[in-house]
Amino acid sequence: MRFYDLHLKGRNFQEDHQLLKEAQRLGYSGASITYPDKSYENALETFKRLRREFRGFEVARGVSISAETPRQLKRKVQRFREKADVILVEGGDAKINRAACEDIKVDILSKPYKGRRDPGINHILARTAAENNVAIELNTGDIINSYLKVRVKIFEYLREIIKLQRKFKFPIIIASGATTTYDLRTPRDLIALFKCINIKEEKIIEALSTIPESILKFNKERDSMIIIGVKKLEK
Amino acid sequence: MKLKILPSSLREPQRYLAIEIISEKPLEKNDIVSMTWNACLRLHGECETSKFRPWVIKTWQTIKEDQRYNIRCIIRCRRGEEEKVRAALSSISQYDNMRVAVHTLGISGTIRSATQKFIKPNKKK
Repeated sequence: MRFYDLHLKGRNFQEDHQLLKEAQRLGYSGASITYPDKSYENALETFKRLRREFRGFEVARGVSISAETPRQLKRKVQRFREKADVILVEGGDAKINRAACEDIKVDILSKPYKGRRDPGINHILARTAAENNVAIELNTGDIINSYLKVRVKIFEYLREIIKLQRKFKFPIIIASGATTTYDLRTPRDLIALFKCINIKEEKIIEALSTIPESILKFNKERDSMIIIGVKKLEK
Repeated sequence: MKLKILPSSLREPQRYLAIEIISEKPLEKNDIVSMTWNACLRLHGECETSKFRPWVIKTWQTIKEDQRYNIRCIIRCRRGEEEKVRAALSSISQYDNMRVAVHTLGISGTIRSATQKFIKPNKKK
């Protein structure tokens, strides 16, 4: 089984190197380092160096986009689609959540419940997310670094998201959002942790391995796709 | 007077978790005990934790790598509850105002095999 973590927050070469090394030790076979959209251009050199250092461990270039208006989000997504492997949108605002779910170019919507008093996803967003294949992220960093009332709330929102997932079948992924090595956990530990909120084991394994793998694979082929389902073949 | 030990047919079956703790400062065995208990109580509550019977069996020497301290130990719990204990352990992030991470290396039926398989995998028999 190959496990992936698509949300490691990058800062500089040395810290990214440490994070990836720890992830490799814990049994992941691939990860994506995400940089905020403002500093992404400067990080391209770092990605090149990291890729050279890690053989047999997939390092994907990720960009985390934070926008204030849906229009700004659309423009940013357009700009980064060709340059980055994984596009992650920082959710929270209702309009941003909706715009992200409706955009087929977005891969992951991260923390739709951030700063809100509801999960940030309802049946309408769930349906559009399923249509456009936008994955909703269940963030483990949030669970691990909070306690008591805050953690209870997060569990509540995750349960709600899972309930919607059961009906609408949009992809979900489990990612850490780690900034330091202390935020990382082994895949098996994460499976045990998510079992606590009554998610089925197959679904968790899918969220940790098959879905991230398919996102990475799909994005490699995105250039040669004219529309979804039609692919240019090279002779 | 001390109670007589239960016959083996009446004893609860057990499982052993081999774990690895990474911390900013070196940890004692007492710290690990209180850490486990607090984590179990916090994530599962008193009612559930009463089923676990967690017990720290043995700790090994602390190893220093870069700026982190790495300690390995074995925790016993009741059979059937090991996944829950594992979840509780992985939810630990802080202890005594320092960052901590607990990774479960593996689960085993005996102390001996847990040691050989997970704690000292390189050592020959």
